[in-house]
Amino acid sequence: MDRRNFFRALFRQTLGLLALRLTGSLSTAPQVDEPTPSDNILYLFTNPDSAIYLGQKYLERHGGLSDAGRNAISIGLGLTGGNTLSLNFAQSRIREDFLHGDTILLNGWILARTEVLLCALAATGKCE
Amino acid sequence: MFVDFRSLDTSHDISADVCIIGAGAAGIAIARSFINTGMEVCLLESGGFEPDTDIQSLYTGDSIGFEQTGPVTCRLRYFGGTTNHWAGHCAPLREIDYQYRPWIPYSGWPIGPKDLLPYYEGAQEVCQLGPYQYDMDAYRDGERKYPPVLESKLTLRFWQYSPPTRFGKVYRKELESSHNVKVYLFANVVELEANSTATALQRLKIQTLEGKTGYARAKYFVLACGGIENTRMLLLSDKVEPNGLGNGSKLVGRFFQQHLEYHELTRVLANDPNAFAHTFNRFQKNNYVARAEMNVSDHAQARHEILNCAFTADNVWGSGYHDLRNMWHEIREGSWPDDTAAKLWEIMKDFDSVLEGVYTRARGDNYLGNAISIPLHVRCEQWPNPDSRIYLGPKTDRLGLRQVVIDWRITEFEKRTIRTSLQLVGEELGRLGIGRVNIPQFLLDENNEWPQPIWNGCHHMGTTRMSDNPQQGVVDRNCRMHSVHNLYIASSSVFPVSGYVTPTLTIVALALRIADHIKGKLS
Repeated sequence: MDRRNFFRALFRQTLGLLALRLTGSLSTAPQVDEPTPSDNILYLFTNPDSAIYLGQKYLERHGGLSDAGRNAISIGLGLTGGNTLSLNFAQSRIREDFLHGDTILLNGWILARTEVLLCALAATGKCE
Repeated sequence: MFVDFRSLDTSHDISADVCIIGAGAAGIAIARSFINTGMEVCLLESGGFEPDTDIQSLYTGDSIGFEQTGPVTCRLRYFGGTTNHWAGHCAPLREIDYQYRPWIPYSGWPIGPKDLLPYYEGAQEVCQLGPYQYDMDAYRDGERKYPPVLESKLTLRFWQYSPPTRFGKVYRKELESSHNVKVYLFANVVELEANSTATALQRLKIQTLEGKTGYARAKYFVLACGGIENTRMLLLSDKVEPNGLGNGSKLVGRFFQQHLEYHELTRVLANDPNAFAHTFNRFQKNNYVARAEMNVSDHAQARHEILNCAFTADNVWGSGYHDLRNMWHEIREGSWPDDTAAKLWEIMKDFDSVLEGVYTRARGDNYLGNAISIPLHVRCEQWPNPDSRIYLGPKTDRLGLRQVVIDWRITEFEKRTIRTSLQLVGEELGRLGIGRVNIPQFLLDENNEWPQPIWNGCHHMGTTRMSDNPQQGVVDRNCRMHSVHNLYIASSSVFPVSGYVTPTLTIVALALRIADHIKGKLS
């Protein structure tokens, strides 16, 4: 999967449910039809707008993301030089974050640092 | 044998080897264990077989501390006591609850799990439960797959569910046919009369609401009236000791603890809501019902210096199905449902959820409707705070006895515990790909504000705490009062530390242990 498709999948499948929760419209959320394997963490990620929303929240709190910061995140995630980003790698990083308690509290949600940084990258609009 | 105290001659005197005050879970458990022993036992109960408004009003008191379910609503003053509306949750105290934990002031029991184990096994039978199995080992090979949580953060433990046993109904016949156990109904104990040095109890003064009086004498007495009323009885009995019987160290009424519960503290945004609910909802195992929970591990409690705390998934029901279910339970219990018209109206309005719920239950599944998130239910222990207390106020009841004032206090320690515990649950559910957890804002606020309603479980504990040191406790390790050698206390009021699990199973286990102890003394 290339970076474009990764983010598309991420945005489509990621934090949509979270955003619905955050905006108080949980009761009107659509029922999920297709069960996926329980270890697929991206199953939660359904809505690009939500990922951007959470990314913006993070950026607001931290006063934006400098080029250097963005580069550092990109390098950390292997998103440089046109490399493709492996979903497995992202999942693995997210699990590692949770394992070590490396989490960020965003609007009350306990999220892995990696997934929050991915959202932040998305919110900058410069992730591709 | 049952005796209506109102029908006896004036100034009737009762004489027995053992006299038990209060026919709730503890009192009935002790009385049963004396059947056919040849020892004479009397069991004194304030009420009759049915609830009575006048008798219930004797429980009236004031609450000036943290808002809670009131002393009248929580307790029931008739044969069977509060088991008449008990929900049936059962689990033993966890091992760490017995230990001295340096980060929790006044923590630790003078006894350990081994001291209670044989009595827990007896209590399982009394509470109509399955075998004594509460750890993962007993459930690992079942049809359910449990997430491999990290022992450094969480431990999976289990509850069992009593039918629930209504002690007054289930054990009534047994007590009725007993020749050596006499149950006196409508017999309010109004005073514990001690000898001149307050080292022994000589007799109890009994009074009916109609003014008839009498006395009960025994070699041994057991006070089994619950965490609030035990305190009240001791404080009211102040003729010899001005601070109240057995209250030389002024500990009676202090360390009042309840459990902190939120049925829907937050929700888990689950990857697979059905699977998550299936893991943590109740299930039938052989001949009993059990349920898993996520308990913060002993290791994590020590590392974060927090109290004991656990989470489980709550059920998700539509309002119509919820009301139908409640009505069914009430009818099955033999009582007419409260707010029948409102419930019927809700059932009609939300008929979709009723149909779906009934159909899903009939298939043996959990009904989730359209839920994409699952409520998390939290149970947290309260630290033994001496300033959280019960004392006598100026108001009096119909018998002329002073009513209680309850000053329940919870602190930021409990809040920090729930916040930290929820963080650990969030980390593990995230790591395992199960879902994401939200921490409610009130837990993040650095203050002692708690949103209402908070459910205290109606578990009144700690007010006559157990300790080997008379300066630090009211009863010794055998639940006998330090200063009154023939008076035992059977109740959660002896819990020095409450843990987070519901107290009934431990109350019954301690009651059976007291019974054994007294039998040993008498024989």
